[in-house]
Amino acid sequence: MKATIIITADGKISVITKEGTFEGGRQEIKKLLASLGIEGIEIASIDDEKDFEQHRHDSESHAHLHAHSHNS
Amino acid sequence: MPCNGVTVLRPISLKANVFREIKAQPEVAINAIKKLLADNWQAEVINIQQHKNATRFYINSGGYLEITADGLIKVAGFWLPQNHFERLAKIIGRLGVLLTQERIRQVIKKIAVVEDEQRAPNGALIINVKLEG
Repeated sequence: MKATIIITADGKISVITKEGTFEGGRQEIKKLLASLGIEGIEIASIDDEKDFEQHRHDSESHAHLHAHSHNS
Repeated sequence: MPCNGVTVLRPISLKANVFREIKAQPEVAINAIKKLLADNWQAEVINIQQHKNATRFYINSGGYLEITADGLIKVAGFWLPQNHFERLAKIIGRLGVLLTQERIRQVIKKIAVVEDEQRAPNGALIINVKLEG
């Protein structure tokens, strides 16, 4: 699964997966963060509901649906 | 049938801490701090010691810079104007992030296939990978 990892200059990490389902992407991201944790890189706790969002792209209609798993 | 899409982990804070990076990658971290002191305050590090739960960098003027386990910075024996102290704290905080970025880069190389990486103008490190899970 292809992914992009961004570490900002102010000390935040963001991960974007570009293939598969939302749930599959979320599981892969959580595995990645767990691996970083095993190597001693500490990350603030993650809220499954608020910290993940999905962007679905329907290629047939070219419509874009941005379905967020949070209320912000 | 589930459709392909993009899953995003919104930006999460790393617990970047210079003291932790000194432990994790001592050579890189110590060289970076030596260079920081030399470039900004013409201070030459002449000795490094562990003092309780802190690392002390003794400099040629007789004082030292201390970085504690919780990331606090103390200076003793050399005078810094208040605005310089703030600058020092800010630079060391940024150094903690840079060192953490570097360590993440190394870990990612071990756990994923890195396709490319780049540094954005705003200092962000962007790594494109293929996860093998």
